[in-house]
Amino acid sequence: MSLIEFKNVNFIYNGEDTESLSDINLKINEGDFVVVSGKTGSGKSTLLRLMVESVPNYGTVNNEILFDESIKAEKGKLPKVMYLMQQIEHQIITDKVWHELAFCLEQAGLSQNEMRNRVAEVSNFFGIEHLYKKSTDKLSGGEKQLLVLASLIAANPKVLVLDEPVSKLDPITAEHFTENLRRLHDELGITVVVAEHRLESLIMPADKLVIMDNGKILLEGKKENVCKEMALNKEKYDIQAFPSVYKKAVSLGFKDKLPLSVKEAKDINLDKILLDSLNKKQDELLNKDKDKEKPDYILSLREVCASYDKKAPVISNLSFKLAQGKRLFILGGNGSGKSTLLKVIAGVKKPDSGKIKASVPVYMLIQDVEMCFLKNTVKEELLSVYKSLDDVMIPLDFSDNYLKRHPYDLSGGEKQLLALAKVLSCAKKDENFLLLLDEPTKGLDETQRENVEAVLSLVKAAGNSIITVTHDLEYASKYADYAAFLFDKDLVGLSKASEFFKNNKIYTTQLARLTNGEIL
Amino acid sequence: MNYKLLALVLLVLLLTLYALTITSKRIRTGRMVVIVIMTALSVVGRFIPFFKPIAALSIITGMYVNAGSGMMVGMLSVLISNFYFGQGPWTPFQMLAFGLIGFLSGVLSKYLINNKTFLIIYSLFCGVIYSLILDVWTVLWLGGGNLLEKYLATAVTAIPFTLVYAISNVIYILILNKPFGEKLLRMKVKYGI
Amino acid sequence: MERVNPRVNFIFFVLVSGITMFSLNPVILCMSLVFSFLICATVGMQLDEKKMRFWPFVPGIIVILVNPVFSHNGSTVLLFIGDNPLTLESVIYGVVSATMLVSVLYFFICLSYSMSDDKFMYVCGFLSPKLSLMLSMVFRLIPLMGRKMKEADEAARCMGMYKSENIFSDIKVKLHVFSVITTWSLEHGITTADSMDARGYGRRRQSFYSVFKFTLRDKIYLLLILVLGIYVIFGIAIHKLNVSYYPDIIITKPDVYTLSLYVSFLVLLISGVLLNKKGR
Repeated sequence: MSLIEFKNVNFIYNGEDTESLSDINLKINEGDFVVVSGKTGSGKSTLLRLMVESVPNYGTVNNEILFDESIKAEKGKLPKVMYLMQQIEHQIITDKVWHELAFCLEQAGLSQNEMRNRVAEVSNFFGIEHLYKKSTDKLSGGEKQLLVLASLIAANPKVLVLDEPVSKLDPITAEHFTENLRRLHDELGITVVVAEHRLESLIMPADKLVIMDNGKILLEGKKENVCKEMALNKEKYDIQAFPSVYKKAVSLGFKDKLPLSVKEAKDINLDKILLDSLNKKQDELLNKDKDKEKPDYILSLREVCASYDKKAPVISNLSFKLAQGKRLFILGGNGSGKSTLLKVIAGVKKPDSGKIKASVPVYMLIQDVEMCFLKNTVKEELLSVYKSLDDVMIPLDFSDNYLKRHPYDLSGGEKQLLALAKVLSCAKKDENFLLLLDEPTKGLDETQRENVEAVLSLVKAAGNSIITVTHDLEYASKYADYAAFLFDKDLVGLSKASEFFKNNKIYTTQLARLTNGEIL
Repeated sequence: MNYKLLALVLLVLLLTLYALTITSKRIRTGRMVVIVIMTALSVVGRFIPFFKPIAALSIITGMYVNAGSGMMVGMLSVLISNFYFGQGPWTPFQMLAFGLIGFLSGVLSKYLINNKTFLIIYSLFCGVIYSLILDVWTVLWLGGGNLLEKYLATAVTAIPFTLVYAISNVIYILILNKPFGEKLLRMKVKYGI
Repeated sequence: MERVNPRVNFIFFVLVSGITMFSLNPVILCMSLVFSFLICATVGMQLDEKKMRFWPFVPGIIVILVNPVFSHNGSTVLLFIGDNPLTLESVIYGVVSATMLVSVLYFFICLSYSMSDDKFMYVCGFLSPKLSLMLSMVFRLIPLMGRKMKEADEAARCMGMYKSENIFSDIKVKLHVFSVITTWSLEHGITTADSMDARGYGRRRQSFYSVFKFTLRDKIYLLLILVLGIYVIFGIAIHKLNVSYYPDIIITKPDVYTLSLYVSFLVLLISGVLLNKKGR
């Protein structure tokens, strides 16, 4: 029995002329764990939104979406399809954790005793009892996401629809969240529909995959079948979203038993094959690694300490140097003080002690780039800091269509670049600088990441240095010259990126785990 | 006759009644969120030195959303910000004053949006109204007889303050009107709030 | 953990500040003044702490100074200022009103100090769940906006907006930051609205979840303060505590009934101290 059925559905947003979704045929069956994959703008969010009757869709639906009797929206009853949206911060409604947990129940008009009972149940299920009396504002991103999920589950839904729930979380928190989704599906029998553009953690519990592009469903079916189909026609489909072991296996020509995790990769001996191919190239690599120039240091930190509260320092006695024209990636868990370190280097926050010496100007892009926007169009935004559009330091798309848009309507990657252009407005034309980036790829899909990276490589090629803070390991392994780990208030393991990822056994990329660090 | 008692009891009753009426009516979700955000903004804005945006933001909400929302923003902002700036018997009077200002601007929204001069006069007038209502509180608090005489005397002594207040109010409105108007209208167009 | 249900506490403060406001009886007022200090101390404000604010004395002193200027009633003339007499009665009346003002203000301070956000919401939830929900939403946004303002300030710093170190440029940047936060919060408000819709907001009459319990002890406390309070208010209503200040000061002779009113008020205030004492 299918719960939700799309029959040739087309959808147009108000005030737009092109269809955002076309010819959608899809059945969601009871007990499914469906993962919808696709780039930003492929229509996956729109598709998910149409599954939720209780939210307005700001557009027109042609043809039919059928909902099963058991989940149809009824007046006076709580919705049976619950919806977790992309923005973690903004879907929290109230100020206290207990209030958030009880929100749905209050709307259903339940009695005090029933509510207490349900709230107790879900807090126990998700293990968040210790947060019960806290303010929602004091929670970390992962805790917030879990809180909203718990609050939805309190309403006892049949279907759970989640829009990119893990793309903004660090890998460990993402795993934890996925594990909770799996439990909801397996233990409570809830039907789960998730959209995500990076599948590394979500693909394991999924049993159905839907691949979308350009408002259309390209491929849909059982996970194994879809994986196989994509491997067979690898020119036709974009497999960027998939785990890197899968991508590697596909590129090596595997057609069957495609691995989705490190274990599955070992089962088919992918590691041996990779290492064998590596031995042939080993010699070339060794020669390439030998460039022994004396580097020009543009930044040096000596025994820097910083804190928000004198009793609990965030970084202490931290020292390092950075050479000109290099990219350093600083990795670390949530709340390890990565952002604080950047602020100290940028001079936004004063260190308690220690010396910071930078021989070039330092520019920083803060994490939430929306904090840089004020005007109504991209053009006004740029002209508020530049005399004319010709002065803009980095290549942007200067088409009329782009310049006329509202900064908040841009995609994540475009926002990053616009904010970068604003921050670099202070830089002089022929002077090198140091750029600090705070999680520039948070929530971006592969394509957007490449776009941002294209600009950053130009910046680097001009002889500027960049320090990036991130928890995206695959990203760091691709572009870093140096990498380090911020742990216990200090930088640990600062070394050449290749050595860093080789030496790390756990905190490293999937392929490095598989090949013992020989391949990133 | 205890005027203080009468005034306070009446005011509190009025506000309670209003709180009860909003529960019986269904406010659209989007509108409710806008009210909440404008309220939070005016509370947060009060922490910026020399910046007292409550009246201005109530007027703007009234103008661009509707009368009821303007009133809610005015009353809630005072009630909540007084938790940080001192709660007192004057709270109901301030709530009344700002609620009224927000409500009226909703009623007059057509003229206020289209006519800048009218907007300036209105915000001056709001400053005066606010002072006059607060003077009632002062006089009731002094107590004793000759209430009318005392009221006039207070109002006259307060003229400089009233003027400063009214003029600063005009300045805030002039600063905030355009950006807030644009932003609220964008919300209206994009999401139909 | 606070000892008593916030609604009971709220009712207590309404009763005592009401009685204080509407009686001009010096005995009542003296008791109010003393106990407003005492309760301030019990809710956790030490006299030597900065939190103990002395500002209520400012309006108090103003009232003392202003009253004789306006009011020339009273039979005992102390001296003439110009043509206007300064009377003993009006001076005393000023002092009495000032006492009342100061003690009411301190009761309010106690009230807002002992009412955290969630307690205040709980009190309002009794009136209207929707109002309480709105308050809760505002209370979420305030710290969030504060945090975001700091971030926007850092962004402004990074974009080189702090050009000079004077107060005007400072305020200019602050206003810029305020604008940024405005756009940000309104743009994302729609997500909050959708999130509410998705969770079934407004489907039917809301109920109100609370973390506070209404225990037997709360009921006893409530009954006690209500009985005492209403008894005193009744006494005021039938003019048993009346004091007339103009033209001469006349205090009704205290009889057993008046005394019982004083004692009731005293017990009420003492119970307030117990009410506000922290557990453990």
